[in-house]
Amino acid sequence: MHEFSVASMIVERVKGEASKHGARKVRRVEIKLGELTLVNPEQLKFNYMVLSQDPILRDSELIIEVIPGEVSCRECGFRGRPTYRDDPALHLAPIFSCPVCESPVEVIKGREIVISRVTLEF
Amino acid sequence: MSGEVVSPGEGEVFDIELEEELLEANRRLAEENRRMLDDLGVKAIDVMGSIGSGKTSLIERLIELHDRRERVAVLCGDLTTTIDMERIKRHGVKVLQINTGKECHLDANLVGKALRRLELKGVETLFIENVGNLICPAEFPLGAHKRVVVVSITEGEYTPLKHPYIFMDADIAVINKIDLAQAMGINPDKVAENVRKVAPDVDVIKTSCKTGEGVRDVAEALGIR
Ligand SMILES: Nc1nc2c(ncn2[C@@H]2O[C@H](COP(=O)(O)OP(=O)(O)O)[C@@H](O)[C@H]2O)c(=O)[nH]1
Ligand SMILES: [Mg+2]
Ligand SMILES: [Zn+2]
Repeated sequence: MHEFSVASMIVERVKGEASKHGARKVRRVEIKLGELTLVNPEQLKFNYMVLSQDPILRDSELIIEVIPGEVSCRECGFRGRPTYRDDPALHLAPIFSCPVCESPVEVIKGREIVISRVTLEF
Repeated sequence: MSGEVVSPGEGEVFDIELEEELLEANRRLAEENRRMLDDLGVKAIDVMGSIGSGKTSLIERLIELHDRRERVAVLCGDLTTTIDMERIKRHGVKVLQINTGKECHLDANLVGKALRRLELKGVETLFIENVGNLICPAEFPLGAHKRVVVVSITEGEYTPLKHPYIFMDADIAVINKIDLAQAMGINPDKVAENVRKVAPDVDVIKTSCKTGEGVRDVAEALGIR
């Protein structure tokens, strides 16, 4: 949903890094995207492409590694991936109840958006 | 953040390891906002929910209950319009509009700027009406002391299951427009049950901003009056 703002944050951050090092071009940007974030990887790529028309960023590639989500149950101690609702209208709609005992769960992993690496050309 | 600066030659290619959480910058600014609010003795309430769920109406009702309106201020987030601001103004409280333009949510940076522009001396309670959206505000804390999500009966029973994060991240879930429950054939208790399924610790309060039912309970839960 806010792929646009996430893409602009990435673009700004990467531009800053390139100019800090005096790079001529950004070749590649690698990010880790938690699968429980509200960001759709395909839409993020599209927005990144639209926003990276600057000569320094043009032709750069955005590589997205999706990090699996992990939840833990407050009642029975289950820890693992959440189950997903089978609903094509909702991209990756996790069910926030325990797959074992159906109690509510907490999210431990999968809400991160990390810029892990930028490849710069000089 | 990578501190050292590399000095490569022409045509060389380097990897820079960042391992930086993108949402962290917003979180830090949110903490800054919180400190600023605490120093001023202002309690801030982030009001989230879909378009038309009743965010502005709830804020208006809560202002009416407040016995010292001169101590209330409101920030209205909206993509482009100032309609909500005009509505709030009629209640004689300080109000500032934040137009987010293309952004689908308020962020801590925008709110921080607004906080610096708003005359907050003497203000006790600050309402922040977030942009009408159930998805994005969940990932962008603003630094408010309490987060309220307003869901209306007319949205049906399943909003909490479809948009769990905004409920998980809220302190209070307001189920609004209960005056329409019968006409809509929707049981407010069912909506409440669905909220508890994803967010068992959230306070659930049923209201009608039309009749005023339940609004006092919201004020109490927020600790404002
Ligand atoms: N029947 C009824 N209508 C309401 C209630 N709360 C708000 N409304 C109406 O719903 C519409 C949208 O409300 P508004 O406060 O502007 O929603 P917002 O977009 O979330 O700020 C307006 O026409 C309100 O008068 C309620 O409890 N019952
Ligand atoms: Mg409104
Ligand atoms: Zn369990």
